[in-house]
Amino acid sequence: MTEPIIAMFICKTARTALAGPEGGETVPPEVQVIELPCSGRVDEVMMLRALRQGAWAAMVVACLDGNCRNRTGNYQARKRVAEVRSLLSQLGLEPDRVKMFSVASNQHAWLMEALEGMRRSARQWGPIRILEGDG
Amino acid sequence: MSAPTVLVVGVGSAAVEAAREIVAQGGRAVLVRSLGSRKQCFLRIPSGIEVIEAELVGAEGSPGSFHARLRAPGGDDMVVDCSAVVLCPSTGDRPAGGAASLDERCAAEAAESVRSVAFVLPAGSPRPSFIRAVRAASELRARAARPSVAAFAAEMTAYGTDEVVYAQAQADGVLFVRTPEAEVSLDPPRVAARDQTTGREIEIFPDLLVMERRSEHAEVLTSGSFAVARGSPGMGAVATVREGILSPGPEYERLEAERVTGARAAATRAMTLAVHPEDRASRAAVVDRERCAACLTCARVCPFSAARPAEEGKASIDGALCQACGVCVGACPARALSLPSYAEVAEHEREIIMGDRQ
Ligand code: SF4
Ligand code: SF4
Repeated sequence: MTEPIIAMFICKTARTALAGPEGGETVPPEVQVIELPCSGRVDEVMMLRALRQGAWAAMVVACLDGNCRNRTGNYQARKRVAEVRSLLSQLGLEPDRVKMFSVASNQHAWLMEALEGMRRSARQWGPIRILEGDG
Repeated sequence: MSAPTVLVVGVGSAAVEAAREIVAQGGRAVLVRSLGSRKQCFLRIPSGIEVIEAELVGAEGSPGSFHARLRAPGGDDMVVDCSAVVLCPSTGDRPAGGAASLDERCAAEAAESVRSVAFVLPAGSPRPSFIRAVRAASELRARAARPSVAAFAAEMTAYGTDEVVYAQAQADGVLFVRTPEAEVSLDPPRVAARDQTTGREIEIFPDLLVMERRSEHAEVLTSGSFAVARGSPGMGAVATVREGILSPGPEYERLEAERVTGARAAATRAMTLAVHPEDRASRAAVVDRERCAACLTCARVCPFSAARPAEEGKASIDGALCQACGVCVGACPARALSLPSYAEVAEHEREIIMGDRQ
């Protein structure tokens, strides 16, 4: 079985959490990391498009509440993630395929666990089968 | 090239510190101060810093070339050209760092027979009290009898090299309990709390109970605007009011070291911008006027008030204010906004591979 493809939208500031204690990021190759200037940049279309283009699940990684360098970016992101989750459940897909995570820049281990958790769930769900041409 | 001029506005020691740093970095520092009701300023101004008695009333321009308008006490306006501005708001006569009441000497004064000690620091305790409690706790642990020492606080605050003292206290076996609210009773002395880190219920009956009271200004200190002004690791030591206009935040409730670091950080950032003015406007979000539906969603979501209505009610982005965060880009229903520096995000999105379907 192939490994699940995960789209990880991560804000530039939170991205430091991807680097491990040895420095350098250690994400599996099927995890696509998409850096954004701020988590507030994600929009519904971006998340849905990632799913439509083959991602099994999408993560939005933002800074902790109250810690956004752009003040409200992470709150905006949370609203948009909630919107996409609601769309997914209306489509009959697992809403947890899109999830928001808030990390502090030193929570590398926690973020890696969250990613592992997401991969585990995605393996259970499998790829999305209502893509174009699936009929 | 002549030395860039940086205007430092303020009467406090942070302003002097920032000005000193600017001179040390080869800049020309002009200290603008308005003593107002204060008759005299007791701070010694180091040589090399020019002083203008005036108030800053406005600044036009962008990093590298600001025209600051100053108003002298007589009411005369003058314009000073400068490369950057550092604002060091003063807080009147309140002490920097807040008055700590927890006394470090409590450790030395504790009876030798003491076998267990509890420190309780409620949320909103004066900030210098935390490190004092840590020092006293370590000192008690170092006694031959090695009393057990626990410290209850919502969040221990340490700054700079104080972190080392804190780490050492943990190594010495001081138990730090993280709790928003410890339950304290006095007869018999008892402290109970649930540790947020481990989830465990902790109850101790100490021989000695050292308590800090809540600072009078606790509400102010935890309120939104103050918290923002103080910054955070994510936001940096310096708040940017507008590109090229920097502030280390208010002096009040700052520890001495923190205040000095903040002032120096603002000065350093100001000098960097003065020497290499970034072309911020070229990074700002761009409006596609063809697509813009004049809904002004962007104006509502922009955290920096950079998006505003312009001709035909359509949006325009103020390049001097835009921080290129992309919040508006994600919110625009007409997808009329884009970030030039993140054009590749759109490309990236397309690259997400198609899985095993092919
Ligand atoms: S949100 Fe988009 S469509 Fe609405 S005013 Fe701003 S740029 Fe125009
Ligand atoms: S990119 Fe951010 S700062 Fe710039 S206009 Fe948009 S929301 Fe405002």
